[in-house]
Amino acid sequence: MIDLINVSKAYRNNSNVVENINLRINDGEIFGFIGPNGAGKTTTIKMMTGILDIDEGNILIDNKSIKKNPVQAKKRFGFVPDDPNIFLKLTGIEYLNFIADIYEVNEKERLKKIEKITKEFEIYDALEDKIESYSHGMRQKIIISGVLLHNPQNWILDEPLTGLDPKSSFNLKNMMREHVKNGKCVFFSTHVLEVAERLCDRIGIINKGKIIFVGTYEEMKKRFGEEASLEELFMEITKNDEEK
Amino acid sequence: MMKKNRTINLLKTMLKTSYDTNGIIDADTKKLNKKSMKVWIIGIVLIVVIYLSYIAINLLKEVGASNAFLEIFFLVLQVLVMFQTILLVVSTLYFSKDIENYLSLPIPSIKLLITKFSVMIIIIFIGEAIIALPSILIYGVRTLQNIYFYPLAVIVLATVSIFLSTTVSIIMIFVMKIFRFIKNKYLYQNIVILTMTLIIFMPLTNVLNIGIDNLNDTAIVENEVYNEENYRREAEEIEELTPIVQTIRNTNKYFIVTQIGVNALSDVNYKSIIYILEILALDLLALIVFLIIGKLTYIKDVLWNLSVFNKKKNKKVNLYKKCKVRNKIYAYLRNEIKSIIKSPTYFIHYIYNILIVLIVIVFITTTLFPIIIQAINEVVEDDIFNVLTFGFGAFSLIIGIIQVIFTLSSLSLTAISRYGKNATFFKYIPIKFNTQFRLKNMPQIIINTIIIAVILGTIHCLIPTINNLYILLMFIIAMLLNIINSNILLFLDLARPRLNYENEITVIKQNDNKLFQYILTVVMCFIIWYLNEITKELSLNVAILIEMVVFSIIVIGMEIFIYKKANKLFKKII
Repeated sequence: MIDLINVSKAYRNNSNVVENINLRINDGEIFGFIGPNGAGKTTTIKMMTGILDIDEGNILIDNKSIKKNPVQAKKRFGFVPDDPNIFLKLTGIEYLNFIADIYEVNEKERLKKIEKITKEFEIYDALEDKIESYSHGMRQKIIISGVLLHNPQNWILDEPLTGLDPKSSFNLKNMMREHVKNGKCVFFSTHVLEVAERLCDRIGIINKGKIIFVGTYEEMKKRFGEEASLEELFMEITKNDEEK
Repeated sequence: MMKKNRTINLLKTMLKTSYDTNGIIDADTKKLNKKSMKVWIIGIVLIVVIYLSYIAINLLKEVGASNAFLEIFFLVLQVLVMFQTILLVVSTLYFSKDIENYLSLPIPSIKLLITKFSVMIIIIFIGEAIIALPSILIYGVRTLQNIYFYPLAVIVLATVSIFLSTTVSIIMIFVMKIFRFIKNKYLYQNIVILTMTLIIFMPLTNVLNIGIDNLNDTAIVENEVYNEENYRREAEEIEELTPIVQTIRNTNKYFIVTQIGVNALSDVNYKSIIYILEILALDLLALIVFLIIGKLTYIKDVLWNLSVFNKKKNKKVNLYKKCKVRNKIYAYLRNEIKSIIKSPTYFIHYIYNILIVLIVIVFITTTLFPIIIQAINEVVEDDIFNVLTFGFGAFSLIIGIIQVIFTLSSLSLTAISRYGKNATFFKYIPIKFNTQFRLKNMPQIIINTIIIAVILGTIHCLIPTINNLYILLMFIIAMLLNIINSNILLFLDLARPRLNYENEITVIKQNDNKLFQYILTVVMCFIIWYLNEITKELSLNVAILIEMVVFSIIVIGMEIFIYKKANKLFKKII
C-alpha cells in the first residue's frame, strides 16, 4: 500500500510542481498515473522513491515513511525508472546478481527467479552479454527483471512498457495482474491510454501538479460522458482544467 | 577544390566528435570564454609549466649547462608524445565511437585513415601547444636565442612529434594484430596499451641504464686514457654537466630524431635547416610506411574489431556459478570497483595512469638517486646520510610529495557523475547514504593507499637510515591525508554533480571540479608547510604528534559531518 498525504513540492522559483497531493494506492490494485508532459508525474514518482525530498506532507510505503524511515520504506518497493541505461558495463547476470545481493535475495530463490523471469522475457540467452550490447527493449527487460527478482510488496514503474516488444509487453501486463492477485500493489505511469484503460483498476490524472481525477474508468465515464473512450475523457478533463 | 573542401569538412567533423572544445570558445562571440572553468585550468597549467621551466633553466644556467635543458625537454617530450599516441591509436584510430558512422559513407579507406590520423596529430599538437611550447619559448628568452630560434622551435616540435607518433602507430598496428586472439574488447585494449607501454618504455629504461653505464665508463676512461683526444673532449664536456644531464644526453643519442631536434635548436644557424630537413625526410619516410601498411590493413582491422568485439556471446549462462550470494555492502563495493575496471576509459584515466607514474617515479628515483648521492658524497667526502639528520622538514617534504601525487587520481571526484542520470539508482536502493558515501570513497582510498605504499617503500629502500618508526608515522599521516582528500573530492562531486554527460570520456575531460582538486592540493601543501614552520623549534616526535592530531581532528570532524548530513549530501542527485 502506498499513501501520499498532502504532498507538495516546489522548486527554486517557488512555483509548486506538485501541490497538496493525496492518494492511496491499495493492496490488490493496479493504479495508472497519467497526465500531460510536465504535469508532475515524474516529480511525484521521484518523491515516492526517495530520489527527491518532499517539501510538505509525507509518503508512506506499507506504513513506512520514505522521509523518516527511508531504508525500510525502500525495501518495500521495486522501481523501474524511465531510462533503462544503467550499469551498461555489467553483463545481464552480473546486474541481476548485484540487485539480488542489494535486496538480500537468498541463493535458492534468486536462481529460480532469474531463470524463470529471464526466460519469460526471452533474455536468458543474453545474460552473459554486457548490458551495453542490449537493445532499448532488452535493457528495459533486464531492469524489470531486477525488480521482479526481489518481488517487493509494491511496484513503482515509470513508463514500463516503452520499448518492449508485444510479447514482453503482454507478459509484463500479466505479471502485473498476477502481482496484484497476490494482494500486492502496482503503481505505474504511462502515456498509453489504451493500456491504462484496459489494465488499471483505478486511474489518477495529474495536471499542473494537481490531481484532477482519481477513480475507476467507469466512474470517470459516469462523471464526464458515458460513451467516451479514456483518450477522449483525458482530453476533456485536462482541457477543462486548463480553462479553469 | 570541392574534393579538398570535403576532406577538410570531414576532418572538422571528426575533430568535433573527438576533441570537444565546448565551453572553451564562446559560441556567440567565437572568442575565448573567460567564464569557462576549462580555460582557467589551461591557464593554470600554462603558468605552472612556464614557472617550472623558468626555474629549471635558471638552475641549469647557474651550473653553466643551460643547453642541457633541451636534452631534458626532449626526453620528457618524447615520452609524453609516445604515450599519448598509444592511447590515441586505441581511442581515436581504431575504437572511436564515430567510426561506424563513417564506414557507411562513400569515403575511400586511405582518406579515412589520413583524416583519422590527422585528428590524432592535431590532438597531440594541442597538448604540445599547452605543455611543450611555453617551455621551449621560455628557454629561448632566457638563453637569449636569436629570432630564428622561435619558428625553428615550433617546426622542430611539430616534426619530431609527427615522427614519434607515426612510428609508434606503425608498431601498434602489428601489436594489435598479435593480440587478436583476445576476444574481450576491454581486455584486448588494456593488453595492447600495456604491451605498447612496455615495448616503448623498456628500451627507454635500458637506454637509461646504458646511459648510466656509459657515464661510469667514461669516468673510468677519463682517468685511464686521458691522453687520447676523443676521450679528452668527451671528458671536458662531462665536466660541465651534472651526472643526471649526462645520463639524459646519453639516452637521447639512442633516439635519432630527438637528437637531431636537440642539435637543430642547440645552436641556431644554417645547419639547423639541414637538421630540420633531415627530420622532415624521416617524417616522410615514416608516413609513407604508415600509409602503405595502413592502406592494406586499417579498414580490415576496423571491420574485424567491429565484428568480433560487438558480437554477442549468446553463451549459456551457468547460473549456479554466476549467482554467488554476497553481503550487500561487499556487493556494492565490488560493483563500484568493477564499474571502473570494466570501462577502459575509467581504467586508463584512473588506475593505469597512476600505475605508470608510480613505475616511472620508482624507476627514475632508483636509477638517478644513487648517482646524485654518489656525487654529493664525493663533494662532502663522507656518506651524506651520516652527515644529515632526518628532521621534520624532510618528513613534511615527503608528505607534501605524496599529497601532490594524490592530485593525479580523481576517482572520488566522479564517483557520482560517472553514473550520469542513472545515479538516481543510489537514491532508491535500501542502503543508508552515509554507508554509500564511504563505499563510494573506497576506490579512491585504495588507489591512494597504493601511492603511499609505493612512495614510502621506495624511500625506505633508497634511504635505509630513516627509522622504520618514522616510515610508519609517515604512513599514518599520509593515510589521514588520503581520507581527507577522498572525502573532499566526494563532497565536491555531490555538491556539483554532472549528470548529463554524453559518454565516459566527457565525465573526465569536461569535469570542471578538477580545478578544485588542484586548489585542494595547494591548500593541503600550505597546511603541511605551515605546520612545519610553527613546529620548527620543537622536537621531531612532538612535531609529528601535532601534525597527526591536526589531521585526525579534521578526519573526525568530516566523519561526524558525513554521518549527520549524509541525506543532504545526496540531495542534488535527482
